[in-house]
Amino acid sequence: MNSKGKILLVEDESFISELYQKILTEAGYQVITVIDGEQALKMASSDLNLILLDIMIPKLNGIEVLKKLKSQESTKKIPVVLITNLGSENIINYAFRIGAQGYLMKMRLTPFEILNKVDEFLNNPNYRMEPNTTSYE
Amino acid sequence: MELPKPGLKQKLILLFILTATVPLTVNNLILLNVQDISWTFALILTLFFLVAEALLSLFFAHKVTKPVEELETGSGYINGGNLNYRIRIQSGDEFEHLGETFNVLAQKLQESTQKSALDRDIILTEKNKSAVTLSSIADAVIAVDLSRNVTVFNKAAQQLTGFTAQEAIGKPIGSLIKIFENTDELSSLLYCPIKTDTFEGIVFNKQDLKLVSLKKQPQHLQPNHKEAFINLVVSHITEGTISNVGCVMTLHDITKEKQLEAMKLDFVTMAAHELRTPLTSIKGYLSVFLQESSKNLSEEQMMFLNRIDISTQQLGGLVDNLLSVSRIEKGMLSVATQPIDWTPLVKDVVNSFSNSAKEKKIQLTFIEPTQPVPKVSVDRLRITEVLFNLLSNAITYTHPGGIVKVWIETAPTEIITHIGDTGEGIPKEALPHLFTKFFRVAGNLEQGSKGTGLGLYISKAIIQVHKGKIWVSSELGKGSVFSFSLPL
Repeated sequence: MNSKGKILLVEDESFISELYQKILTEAGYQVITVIDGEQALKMASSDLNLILLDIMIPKLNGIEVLKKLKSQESTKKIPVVLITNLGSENIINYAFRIGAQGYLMKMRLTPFEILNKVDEFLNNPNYRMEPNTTSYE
Repeated sequence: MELPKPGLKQKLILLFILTATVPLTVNNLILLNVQDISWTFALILTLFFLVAEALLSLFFAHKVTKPVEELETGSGYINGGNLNYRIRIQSGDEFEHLGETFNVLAQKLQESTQKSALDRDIILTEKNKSAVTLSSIADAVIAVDLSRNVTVFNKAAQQLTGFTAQEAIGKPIGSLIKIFENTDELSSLLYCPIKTDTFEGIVFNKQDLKLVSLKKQPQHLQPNHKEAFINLVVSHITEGTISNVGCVMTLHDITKEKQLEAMKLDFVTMAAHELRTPLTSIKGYLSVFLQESSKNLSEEQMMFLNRIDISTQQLGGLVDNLLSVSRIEKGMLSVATQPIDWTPLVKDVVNSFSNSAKEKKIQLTFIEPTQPVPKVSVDRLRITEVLFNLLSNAITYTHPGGIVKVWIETAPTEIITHIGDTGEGIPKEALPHLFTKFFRVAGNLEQGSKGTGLGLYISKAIIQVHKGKIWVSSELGKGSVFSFSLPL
């Protein structure tokens, strides 16, 4: 299958994961969805182009998953973007410090805006996503 | 057979005999010549005197040599280690004095030796105390000499880096660890400056540094090198040039604390997160629905959905407000500032209100600054909250057909942002209370409570944390201009 890229989506809220999966798949990406941290580590393979990672997930939280991903040879090069509703500066700074390439606040972005960010990112690997602050309608 | 060497006694005896013999012989010869004495008599006389003389000389010799022997014995004992021995000479002459002096010396030697033994014990005890103390200090302590080679490497340092003391001592510190501040590596010349002046005290003190140990981990352990977050304090000791101690480094491991801090979620944060989850779904599904079905919907239906969207937005804003207020109340409002371009940020927020303004038939304009606006250090998230709040108020309190204008003024030491509206205006009595909690100006333009009265309170707190000021100038019935400054 010729896809624009392979994305691992880690999100335990099924309403949200199904919505994102739909939008991303329709845009041409291959999306694999998992619902907890342990599964995220299991499914993290080196052929992934991007990992969208929620923080508040069962079994192993997103921050720990991120740490693990960045410490394994096979996964440390995969860009990881945290996509969550937590907005504490501590967590944001910590996430960037341990290697996250981006941090998106779910509630402030429509699925289309998220898609745009994903496109932007995959077209330009040096692009660094900051917490999106300006999408109040 | 070897002839025994003559001791002092023998020498003295010989001396006496010799010195006495000559005059005795001479005397006898004279006697012989002068008197008519037989040879036999002379011989017997000579022998008699000789014997008497021998006995006398023995006696006196002994008197002389006894104290000397005593001195000899005494020094023998003391030399052999028996420091208690004291010489007893009571000859009444110089030898007695010598004996006393000897005893004084022996006493002093004894006392000195005892003191040395005591001192040695003290030193050993102190050394043990230091060693035990050092090894039980929770912080890693690393001392380096003037060439920055490790001289002390306590237990905590071993645990922190994975190197044993034997592996570390004598090696240059730069070959054992690397220290980073954010992504910049700090060289050992920076955190351990070797000073040759008399400076004593702390030469380096930074927090939140990353430590990477260069000890290779066994294959099965990930990652390759030990990493930790530390606070590093380095002191310099003035006796360094004498005792070859260059710097003493104390590394306080904050890795766990950093993790806890990052993960610490208080009730309000948790609640905010919980509230945002269903909001995310509502917003998400609504936007996709609108995108995909807009052609099939009537204008009225679209309007309904738009209102749902706007309401969701407001709800999201409220959740943020409540979170902010609780932080302000707890004194926990902190800002993480970064220099950013101000104009695009303001423009973005203004644009995000274009729909709401259109809905209400209000003309919303952003006036481009005539000169380039310098960068300001702000916390994006927080400052956007302020802009959002002020704009939202402006639109809420302006009649349809009114105008809301946003413009930026550059002053020498600050940037001032103005949000002006042609709305209701604010009565004079309300002005002093405007930025307090829950204050709402009574008016007839709010259909339903669109706010909690917290917006200005929060905005003021945020601006103050940025070391700026916020104020309003208003005229009832004509409009208001809200302004805030940000220092450059």
